[in-house]
Amino acid sequence: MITQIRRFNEVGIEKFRTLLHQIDDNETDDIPQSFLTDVYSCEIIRADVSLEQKVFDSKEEMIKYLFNQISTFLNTTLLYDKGMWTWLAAYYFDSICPKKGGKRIIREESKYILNPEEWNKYYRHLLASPVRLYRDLGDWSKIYLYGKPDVPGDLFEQLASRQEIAACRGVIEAATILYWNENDRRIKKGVRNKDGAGVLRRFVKATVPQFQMTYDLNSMGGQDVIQLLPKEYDKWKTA
Amino acid sequence: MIRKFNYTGRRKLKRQRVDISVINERPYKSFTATLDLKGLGLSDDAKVYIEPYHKSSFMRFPFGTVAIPQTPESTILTDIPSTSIIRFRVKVVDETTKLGRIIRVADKIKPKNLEESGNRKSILHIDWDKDLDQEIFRVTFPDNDYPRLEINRRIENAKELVKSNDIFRSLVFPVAVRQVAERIAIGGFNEEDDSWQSTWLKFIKGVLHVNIEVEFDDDNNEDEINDWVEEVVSAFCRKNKFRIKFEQAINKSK
Repeated sequence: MITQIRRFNEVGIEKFRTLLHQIDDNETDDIPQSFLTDVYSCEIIRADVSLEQKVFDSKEEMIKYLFNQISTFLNTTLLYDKGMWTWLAAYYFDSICPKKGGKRIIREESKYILNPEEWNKYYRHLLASPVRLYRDLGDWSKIYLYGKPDVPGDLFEQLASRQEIAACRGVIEAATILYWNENDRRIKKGVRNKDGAGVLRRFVKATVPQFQMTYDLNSMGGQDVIQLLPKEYDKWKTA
Repeated sequence: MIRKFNYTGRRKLKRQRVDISVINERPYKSFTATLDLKGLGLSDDAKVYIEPYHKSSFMRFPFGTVAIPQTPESTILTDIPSTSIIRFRVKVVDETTKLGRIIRVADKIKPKNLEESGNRKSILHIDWDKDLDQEIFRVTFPDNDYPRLEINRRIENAKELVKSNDIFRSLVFPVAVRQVAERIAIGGFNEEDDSWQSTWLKFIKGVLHVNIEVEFDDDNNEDEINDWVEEVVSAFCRKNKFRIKFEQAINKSK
């Protein structure tokens, strides 16, 4: 299916919410295609922008595709457009909520229905926040875009849950230098451990907040942040 | 005693030197800021940043340098929820080396709201801009800040209801005060500190005249604590004559 980009109205959002409950209760297992173009539930945002309803296996591929399609008109207001991002979630539902063993696992609502009120809810949306971080950080967002479209992952949770860190170029560059294996294009082993010297959790929860007391990390590059790190991070610099 | 080290010489920027006002516009708020950085011995080329935030939401605006302050073209708070509770951080940063060292900082700055007047200190902050779906109100306890009474922005004339509708006030405020009292009773603060709990206790003792001494941090004190909470709510209702006002309002509406 190829169709023009749309946004749900209030009716559409409520219907989508009901569908999520029905899928969770095994009363249905799909989003009806007709709902995605139903004139009573949604409206066309841009007649000249069409989206192909592909099933993506990689988050990076999906986010880059989406960004390329909408970047020309993606202004600040649209970043918070609940109707558009929720419609996109419904349109790409097979990617962000695939059937596993014949059943879809519905996660918390804010992963599908954008909650633009607070960053700590906003960042959970499986499309809006990765697209936004890709827009803000470019190639440095690769650490956010790793994995499958339906899995935000612990790393995303750690880095993106506070906007001050999520979009801080110095911190994200440093995290990428430390924890991203460019050769294999994947996150290094052990990064997501709960304990251990220099693991991501310590970086985000202990080291960065400590540095923020003294340094303005937003005005620093990743290598500058790396220079400040204590010895416990040495093994990640070379791993 | 916990020793604090300050190797980089970072110092506080006094709040009196910072004047920030929030302008309520739809769909986004914006702000204006005036900073007095004279006489602090700061390097002329140190950079100035203002960072509004609310919970996990955050923005950052460059305001030029110490010598040449420059207000950015836009100070629209697009990334901050349309809440009335926004705090600001002002940083003066030495960027002469690659390491952006903070040399002065002022944090948790409450902006002036240009639509409000008066200097009375509020101990229950009201947030008018929360979408609470079908809930009317909610009491929340943000970290290191005063309790908040969130009012569903979908309710028409919400400000009017909260300020002058005695039915609404007599039903909602006692619930809010009960939740605040229960939260205070969890303990974990010192009455001499400047926490919101200490300020509330001053209000409870000085204005509501509830002077029962309770050891909040004692786990065996459950009954006494419950009595204290009940007395706080009772005293608050007495002070505001909620039942009488409620009855009068009901009779008036018949």
